[in-house]
Amino acid sequence: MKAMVWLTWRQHRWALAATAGLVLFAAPLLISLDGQANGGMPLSAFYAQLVQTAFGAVIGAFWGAPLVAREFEDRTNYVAWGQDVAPERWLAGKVAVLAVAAVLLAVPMGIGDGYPGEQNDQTWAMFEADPLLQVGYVLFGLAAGVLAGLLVRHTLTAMAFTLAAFVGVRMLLSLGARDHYLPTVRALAPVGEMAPLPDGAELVSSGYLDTRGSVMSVPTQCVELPRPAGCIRTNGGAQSYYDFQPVDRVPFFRVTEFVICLGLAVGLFAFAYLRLRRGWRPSRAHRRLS
Amino acid sequence: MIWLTWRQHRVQIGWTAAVVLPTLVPATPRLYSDLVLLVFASAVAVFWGAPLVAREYEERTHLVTWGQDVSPLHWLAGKCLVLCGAQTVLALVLDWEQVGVTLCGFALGVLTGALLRRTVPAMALTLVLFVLVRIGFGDVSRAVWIPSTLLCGVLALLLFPVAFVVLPRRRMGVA
Repeated sequence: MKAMVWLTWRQHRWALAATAGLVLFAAPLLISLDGQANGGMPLSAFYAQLVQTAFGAVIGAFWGAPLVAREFEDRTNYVAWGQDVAPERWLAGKVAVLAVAAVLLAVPMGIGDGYPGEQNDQTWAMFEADPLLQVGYVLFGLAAGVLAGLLVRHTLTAMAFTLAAFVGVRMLLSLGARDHYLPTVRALAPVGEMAPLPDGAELVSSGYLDTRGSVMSVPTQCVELPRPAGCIRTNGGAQSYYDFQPVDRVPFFRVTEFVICLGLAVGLFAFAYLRLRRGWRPSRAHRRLS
Repeated sequence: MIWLTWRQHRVQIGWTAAVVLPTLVPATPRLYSDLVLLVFASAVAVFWGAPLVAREYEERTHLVTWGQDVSPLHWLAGKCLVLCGAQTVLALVLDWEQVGVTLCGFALGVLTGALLRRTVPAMALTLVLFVLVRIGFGDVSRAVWIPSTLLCGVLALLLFPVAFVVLPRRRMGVA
């Protein structure tokens, strides 16, 4: 195991150093912008969000995907797995070292949010600005990259697949799942009026309730009207409802999303580990050439 | 060269087109189109540009490709012609403002690959440099009121000749 740690460090130290350089550049910028007193969202906050959105994908594509794929492509797998170390042990050693390094780099990336004047770090807008969550994304990206490399056996293709898979899962989580980790809170108001939502709340959905208190669709004859409130009242609408997530749920939601990402990562790692333990055969292209 | 380039890169071009073309369909979610617009130029720079020369060195196929009738310059010209044409068409599908940006990223990728000679490091460096260029040019273009795509196009016009000068002068590197 000690030998695997040393080997992984020797083989990946330049990738580790380059990523550490990136973190050393970006993380202090994010943290220093955080404390400045200034309202509004500047361009720097947009870049910060971009960095925090992309970091897991970068780790997945540049650390994870080439890990196994390069061995196959350069045929060094015959050397790496043909000796004392079994393939699955080799994978476990590599992944353990890289995962620890990735976690250590992900934590500073999640501290700042690049949003000047925002003293409170608990906002829905900067949901990704959280060390724990960044750790989850990075582990998921790494696992997805390793598995893609093992299945595709071609570095470039594996990197592209990893990128696509990471973006897809992140979008599913942030656009589809995230609003519903806990049931929403409902605020009621007279038809056509806005209910006073608590500060920082994230509005998930809104609409109209009928007299029995169940959700009704907007009657077709009211849809076209510029001010449909009167029309909806005469057609059985009793109240407007606003379903929202209060801002004090942000920490719980972050932990939830971290657990989801961690679960995905563990599942993908386990799949890759078991698949490699079953042994590997040269691909068709390898057999043709040898 | 055109035929060779098409044969070697048609899968890559096909995949990229498969990602880009759905944005033409009106039923596609707005978010998907925005996302493609955001990453298209960077993806072309990293996945088309950087590996173009670097892979040849890394897999030592450069000894075959440039050791025969076709000179490195001729080879690079053919590759750039076909790939620039393809990416320009795809960029026009998205937004005409992407054309200059995409060509600039591609040129940056090719040059980085020719200098580093290793695929994955070249891809990483291309990504970092291209992000910096786009952020920098975004600020400059707001300051001087010249569209960012035009600035990027000018940079591409500078980078392509540099790549053409650098490539034939690199040693074949038989170690």
